[in-house]
Amino acid sequence: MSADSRAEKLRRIRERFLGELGSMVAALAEACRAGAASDARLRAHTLAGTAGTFGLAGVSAEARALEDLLADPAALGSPRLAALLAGLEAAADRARSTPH
Amino acid sequence: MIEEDEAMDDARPLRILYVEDEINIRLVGQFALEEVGRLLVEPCASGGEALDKAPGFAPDVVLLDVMMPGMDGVATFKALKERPETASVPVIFMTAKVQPQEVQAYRRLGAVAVIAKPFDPMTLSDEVKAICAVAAGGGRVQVTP
Repeated sequence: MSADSRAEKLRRIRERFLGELGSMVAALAEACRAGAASDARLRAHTLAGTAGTFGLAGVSAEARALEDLLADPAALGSPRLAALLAGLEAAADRARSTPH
Repeated sequence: MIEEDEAMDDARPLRILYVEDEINIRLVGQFALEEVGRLLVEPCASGGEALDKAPGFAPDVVLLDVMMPGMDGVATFKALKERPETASVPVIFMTAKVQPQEVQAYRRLGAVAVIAKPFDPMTLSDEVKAICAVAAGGGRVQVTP
């Protein structure tokens, strides 16, 4: 496999992830609204790791901050959680709208 | 003899049981191992799937995500080690949590190495090969980017 075809394959996988990013963020926000801290934390963890794999540092950092915050279930409903969710949504919007 | 060993390596690629629940990471990992590293990969989306596939696939090494829903990496590791057909297969954990105390805990459990996530798709297979070479000699290594 040539370097070009490898890069193309990676690009397609990355596009696949970007296509799912909005629904992943929405599912995380919904888990937070439903009070499911452990599910929300796992979703934040997955999002942070996947975004990091594709070089989306902003999304990864916001998701990682959410994962850390959600280690304490009392954080659900807090202003800090709402701010981080808003930051994550904004970072995801930027990632999807930035040409790669 | 080195040439013969290398020829054997070329003839029989490492068999990797790759366990990762997140499909996009699994696709990148599979790409990295198969198409960059020319390894033989059996992808699994869960610990349960790994336990089902391991005996038939007969992996040389298990590459195991730690944080998964349901049966997580540690539970999967323990189940693999309890089964005679997979008890001796080396396991490499993959995790974003690579603080020294966390890595120590995985090594105490019996993992041969810990690879930090996110990984570099272009170098992942080389890391796995290096770990397997050390593990074959009875050693343990820790790999971080």
